[in-house]
Amino acid sequence: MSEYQHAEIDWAGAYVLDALAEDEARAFEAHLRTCSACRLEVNELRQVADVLPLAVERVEPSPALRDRILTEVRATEHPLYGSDAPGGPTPIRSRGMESRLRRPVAWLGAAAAALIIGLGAWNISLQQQVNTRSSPASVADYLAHGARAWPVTGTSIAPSAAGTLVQPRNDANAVFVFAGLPRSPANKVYQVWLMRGNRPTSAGTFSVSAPGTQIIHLLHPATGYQITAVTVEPGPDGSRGPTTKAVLFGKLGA
Amino acid sequence: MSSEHPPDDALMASIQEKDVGALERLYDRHRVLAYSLALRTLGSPADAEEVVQETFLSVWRSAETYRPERSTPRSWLLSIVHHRAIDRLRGRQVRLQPVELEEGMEIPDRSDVWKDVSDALTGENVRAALAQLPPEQRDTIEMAYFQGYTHSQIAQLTEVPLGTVKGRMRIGLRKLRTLLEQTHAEMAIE
Repeated sequence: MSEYQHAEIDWAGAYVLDALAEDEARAFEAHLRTCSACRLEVNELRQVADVLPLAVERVEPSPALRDRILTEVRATEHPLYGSDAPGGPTPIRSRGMESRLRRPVAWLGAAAAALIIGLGAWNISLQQQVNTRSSPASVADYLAHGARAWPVTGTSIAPSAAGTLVQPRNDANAVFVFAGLPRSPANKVYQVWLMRGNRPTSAGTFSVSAPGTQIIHLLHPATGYQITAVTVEPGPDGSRGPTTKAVLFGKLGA
Repeated sequence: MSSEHPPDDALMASIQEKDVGALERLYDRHRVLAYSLALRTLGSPADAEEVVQETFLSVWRSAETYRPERSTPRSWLLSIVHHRAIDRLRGRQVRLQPVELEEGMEIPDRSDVWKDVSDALTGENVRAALAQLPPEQRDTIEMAYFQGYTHSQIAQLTEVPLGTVKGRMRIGLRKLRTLLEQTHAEMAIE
């Protein structure tokens, strides 16, 4: 074994603890290709590092986390669904926004939406063709009178976003309540789609200019559609069909 | 092992076949450890939940990259949690895959004695072994693994030469391995 290899073997501990800077880790991996002693050391130390998590104090995550994961997992099968796979779109989340855009704790149901609306935590941001007539109070009315509600989950492009699509019982136009979407990119708008099979129908465009809960009134009822999605499209009018992967996605159950 | 409690390896095989139910079971089995590790590293419940969510989505999308001969599903899952939590701490772009040694590199068969050791270990065993390490080795390992400091940062913070920090990490992990093997041997005798 050369002196060089002897010196490098001391990197093995830092490597398995993930304590090397990115360039150092890549350099050490290049060394590993040529040094069986260091490979053996890394393998043995990694096995020890692998049991370190057992030492942590056990804390139960919130039950809502399970729902969010499974909703998103099921949604990944849809072609509109956003992805962080190689070549996929870049997450539209900036470090500056991250601290303000925490996922709402309980966004996955009508009761949660009603609670938030009841607390008056709304901030309507409507524009263009989206209907602006209804007041937020009418959403609470819908929920109190048998409206249906479906969770809409932020995809990996906008993981901090979440919301609820509310369909009033009287077949009025649907209402979309959400939080956590980043500000609209320059010259872009968010566009809401309702999908029947593979056919998208635009349900309106909107912009986000500030963090917080927002309520938008769509152009159509959601009845008869299977999927809703929100994509980023060219402003101010949006597109005839989705041109990007979804930032929010939800299945509209029977 | 009954079919109602399939081992993790069987769950991974089902997840590779896009069985959502298998992912649910894997989540139910390992959610607490995954979340606890993320929380310990990041300190924020919201960030920790996001990391766990990203991890299980990564498992779903990349299950075919899991190599049973290299690690257990639990270790693989927790390594993804750890990488993502550390990357978030350091503000780096999330890696698409956990770092794996490349094809052709020698990997010991995980049916070796260590597998028996790691399968039998409890949190209490690992905490007790960590407590027996010399404090400077334990602190260095914990700063790196649980707090996300690089070896250079630890050298600066502790005013210890970089070579010493690297040595403490490696020697500490070696000693920890020996201690845990002893623990396992004592458990077998009892």
